[in-house]
Amino acid sequence: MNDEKFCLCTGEHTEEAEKEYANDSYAKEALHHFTANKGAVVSVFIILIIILMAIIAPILSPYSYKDVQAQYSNLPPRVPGLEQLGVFNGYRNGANVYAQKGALDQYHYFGTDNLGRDIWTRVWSGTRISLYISGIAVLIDVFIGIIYGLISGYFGGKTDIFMQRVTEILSSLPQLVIVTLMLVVMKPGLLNIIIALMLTGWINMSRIVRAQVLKYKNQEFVLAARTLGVGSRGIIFKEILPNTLGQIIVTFMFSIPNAIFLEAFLAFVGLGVPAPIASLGSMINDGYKSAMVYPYMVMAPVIVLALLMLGFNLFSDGLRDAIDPQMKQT
Amino acid sequence: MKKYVLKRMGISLVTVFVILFVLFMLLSLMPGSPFNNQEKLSPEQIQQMKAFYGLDKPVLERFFRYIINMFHGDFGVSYNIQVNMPIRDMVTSRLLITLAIGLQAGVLGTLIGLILGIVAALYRRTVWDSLTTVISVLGVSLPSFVFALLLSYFLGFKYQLFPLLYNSSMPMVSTVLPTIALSMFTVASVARYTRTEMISVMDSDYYMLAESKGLPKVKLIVNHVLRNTMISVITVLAPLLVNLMTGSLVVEKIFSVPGLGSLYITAIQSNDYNVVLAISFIYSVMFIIAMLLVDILYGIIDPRIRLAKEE
Amino acid sequence: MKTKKAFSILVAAVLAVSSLAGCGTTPASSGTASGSTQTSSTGGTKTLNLAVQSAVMSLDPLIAGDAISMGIISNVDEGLFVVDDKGDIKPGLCKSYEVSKDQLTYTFHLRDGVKWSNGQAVTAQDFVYAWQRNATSTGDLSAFQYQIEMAAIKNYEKVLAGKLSVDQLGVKAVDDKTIQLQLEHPVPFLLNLLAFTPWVPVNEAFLKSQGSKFGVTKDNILYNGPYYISDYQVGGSSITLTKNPNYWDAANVDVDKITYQVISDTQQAVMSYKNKTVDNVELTGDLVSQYSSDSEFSSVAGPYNYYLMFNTKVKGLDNLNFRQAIAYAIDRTTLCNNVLNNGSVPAYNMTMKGLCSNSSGQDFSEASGQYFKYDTTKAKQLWAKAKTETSVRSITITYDQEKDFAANTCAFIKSALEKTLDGLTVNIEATPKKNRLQKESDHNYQICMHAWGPDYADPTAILAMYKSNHPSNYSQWSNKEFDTLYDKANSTDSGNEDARWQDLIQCNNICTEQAVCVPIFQTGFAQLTRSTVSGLSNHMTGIKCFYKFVTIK
Repeated sequence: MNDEKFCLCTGEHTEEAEKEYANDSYAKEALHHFTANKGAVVSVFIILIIILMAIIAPILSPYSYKDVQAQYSNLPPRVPGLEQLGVFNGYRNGANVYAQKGALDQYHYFGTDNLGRDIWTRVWSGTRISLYISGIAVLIDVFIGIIYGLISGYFGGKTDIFMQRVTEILSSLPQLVIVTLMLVVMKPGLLNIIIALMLTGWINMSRIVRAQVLKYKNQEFVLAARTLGVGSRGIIFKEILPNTLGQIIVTFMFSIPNAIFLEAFLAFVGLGVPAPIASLGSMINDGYKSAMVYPYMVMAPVIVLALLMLGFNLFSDGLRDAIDPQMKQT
Repeated sequence: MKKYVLKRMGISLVTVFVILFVLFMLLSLMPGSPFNNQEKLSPEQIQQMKAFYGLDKPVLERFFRYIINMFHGDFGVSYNIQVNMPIRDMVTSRLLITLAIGLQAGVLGTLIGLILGIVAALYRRTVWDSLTTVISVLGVSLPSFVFALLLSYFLGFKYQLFPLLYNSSMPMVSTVLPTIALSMFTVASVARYTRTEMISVMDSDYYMLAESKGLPKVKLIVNHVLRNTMISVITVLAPLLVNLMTGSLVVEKIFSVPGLGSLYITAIQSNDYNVVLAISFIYSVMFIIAMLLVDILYGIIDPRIRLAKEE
Repeated sequence: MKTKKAFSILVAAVLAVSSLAGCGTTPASSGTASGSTQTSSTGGTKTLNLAVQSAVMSLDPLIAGDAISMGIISNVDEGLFVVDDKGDIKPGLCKSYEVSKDQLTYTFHLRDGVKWSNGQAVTAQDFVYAWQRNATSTGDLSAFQYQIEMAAIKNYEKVLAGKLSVDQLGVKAVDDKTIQLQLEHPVPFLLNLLAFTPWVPVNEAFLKSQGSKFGVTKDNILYNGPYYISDYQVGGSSITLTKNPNYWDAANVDVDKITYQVISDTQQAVMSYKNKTVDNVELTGDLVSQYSSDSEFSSVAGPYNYYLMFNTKVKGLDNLNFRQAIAYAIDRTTLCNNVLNNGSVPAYNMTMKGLCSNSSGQDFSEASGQYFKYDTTKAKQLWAKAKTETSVRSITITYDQEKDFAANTCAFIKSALEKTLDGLTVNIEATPKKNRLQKESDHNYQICMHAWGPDYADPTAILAMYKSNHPSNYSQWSNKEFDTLYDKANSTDSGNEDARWQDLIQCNNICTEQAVCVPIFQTGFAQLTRSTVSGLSNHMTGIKCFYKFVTIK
């Protein structure tokens, strides 16, 4: 033992210690975790850029998503600047298709489809529609899911058993089956697609909320609130709900890509958005039919969809780790 | 335990009937008649045909008749896909093919997914980790029909490694491409799940205890981490497998596999009610069985849950 | 401990099941990874591999309504006549026949020694039974009753209405080998009809023994034709026809085996063709232009005309100017060449090119008037007139979601109409085909994208449905002049080729000019066929191909 290793505790030291163990706010800590995750940060940029493009690209474009210019059909991609480098120059099989069709004054960054519609414009307005459909459907899911889950979890007993039976039956109908049947009965339109997506989507959310409620409802702070005479509504919305928010946000983010995907699947079986509206799914489905002849028609929407999915998935992963590093994927 | 399983099965049975009823109602709302050559039939002829198949009766009566016939193993006949063919004959061979491809894809997807997930977790925050993350995220980002077309173009057509189409005389080889296409989603899900699961085990106290006892790394991983990871991975496998069966409809359509999924799409589009009903029924039953299995598995694996449920 | 055991059991179970699934379905997979089965004519047996879009619907000649099923039935069960690869009618089971002077009585003599696959002889009674069965059937067997009507067999009207017993129908077996057929009025296309599926013979005793199973699988029918079905998997993806050694003309049947492979995806079908898995593939959409310079490419006019069918009883569309304005505003040439680009050609009247021609070789469709050539000025004039007569400014076009090109066609039409006809809003709506048909028969629609293909080579196959009382007259249009002319063509003028021809041309002109339906385009049929295969025909009407005329080098 060496006396030199010991020294008097001064004010300086306590400050340092306090700094080290400073109790950052929950949000600040989560943000710190999140920004430390490179993938998550990149994903934020991907999502933001795509959303931005979905908003402004159709506005800035000289074409509209439904402009039919049949005389300029099936043009390959052509981008000013890049065309000098020999890529995206409007050539197919060694011939400039733009020159053949007399469209040398036009630039279609992603080419045109069978009807001569500009794919660049369609892709971005399609992204807009896909985000819109999935966003609304998932928001409604969250709303219904939270209410259902809170009631079912908080009141328990017979209410819970009955409500759980209902969700069990609904979730035993495979989602694809119910959504497809629903859309055959109703005719596919934006609203009906949202309803169909929403119809089964809220179940997962309600389950997660219920599990969270069960976790918190017997904890000390809730008991304390109850002892102080807070009513059921107060406990549910003021005490329990805020604690479940993190998990709800994560599930919300995970649900969006699922909804986008389901919409794409619906387009594949012919139940997509009504023409001439474009969604990523319906564009992929249309382009798929020409994939061997004009691969660019399917490439553009597929790449945007893949980036969007990548973004949302990485973002949700990062968010989940940031909010609760112990939390597991559901 | 036994009592619990029996109770669960009873509930499942009721669920199946409720589902059948809901489906029946939905189908009765579908517009159009189920018959062929409709444009050549007069309204009187269509009425005759409806009477012939008993479709002019009230929905409830038809529902109960359907249930009674079902108990005798009679699921009705097809109205237009293969006219007057008993649904049972139609569906059995297809169910086997769908199950076979689903299982193959399940096994393949799980194996690859496990390997990827383990690699990612062991070499956390290295290039390997990022690589597997990208692969697994891409797997859930690419629509299956696009992936299927890429597979068939490159592996089936350009390099001719595998047959493009399903061929009943060589079911193994000709299901390679559909299996790969179908397993993509499982690979991605299992890889992500395994990674998360393993990391949480490796961060746990008992792992640190085992590590501090000085156990060799290999033994540590195999005995402590993998076993615990596997247990929870298996519980997510059942629903994944069911998704494989129902999700196969796209892949089946592209590779011309005579499975349930491709039949299902056709049946919905052509109003072949009995076929839709039978396949939806099969899907629901698969789902319920999978859920039941998960519950039972949980009980076996985790005694705490079993106790909680028995009280 | 318990956990471990359960875990190992589970793993074992998963492995066992998966290996079972593997073994159970691999009797003899010898590891041939290459996709091609045997190509045509290897080692003695000549095989023709065909790609089809869907599986067989039924083998009952009165139920089968799709081209694939009808093609198979007509190749395994031969009727009185067949059609060769050039489109000429050739005798089938009929050795010779006589026609009375007034063209009202036909006598057919059957070949000797023709047998069903169960060894019994094919007799005149089998034919008579099959035709009587068609005339008396109800329910799902009644879809082809209109064939009896078209053939105008004596007393058909009363028999079909159930007012006379079926014995009174003008068809009888004089003896085992002779059939006598009596008609109400001359039917110039009778032999053509008789080469169609509903007219093949059916053995009554066998049918009765099968009950409701008749025609359901390959074991539930009898064969007498050039082929029999050797392999048919319930719910399977392929069907195999094998040459029938007992067929009367077996010596002249070149192809030993025909396999149908169901390939629902066109791009996969083309890849399979290039891989030599199939010998013939139909091209659709962009693939047509992609392969149009290929040496194995061929294309013929397709059987379908696509129309915009108007419900002429709803407000707005009851106005002739409104309908004609729409008809003039569509640029069919641009649509066919730039958008569809699949071999379709513009259509300017109700009937399709190549349907039939008169004895001097003139095509019916070309001889008829050509209406509604793209003309925006005319369209605008008519629209201006229509605007004063009706207040309707919005229409809905319904199309089949199953058809790839229908969506593009309707989007094109929408844009064309909205551009030319100022103030008109066009909604387009996709729906399953079954639903569209239901809407049509309920008259619950405004405009439908409708396709109609003829069953036999005569204009009446198309024009019949514009008659006021025809059940398929979904547009609810009725025109006295049309009805009179049509009836005249099928009664007083039916024996006189020229008069009948003129009547029908006038009918065609009237209903086109009245814009009951607006013809848009006639489909093309483009295909790739292996150069060693010849005689693989694609007839516009009736059976697409009788394989006994196909040869493989």
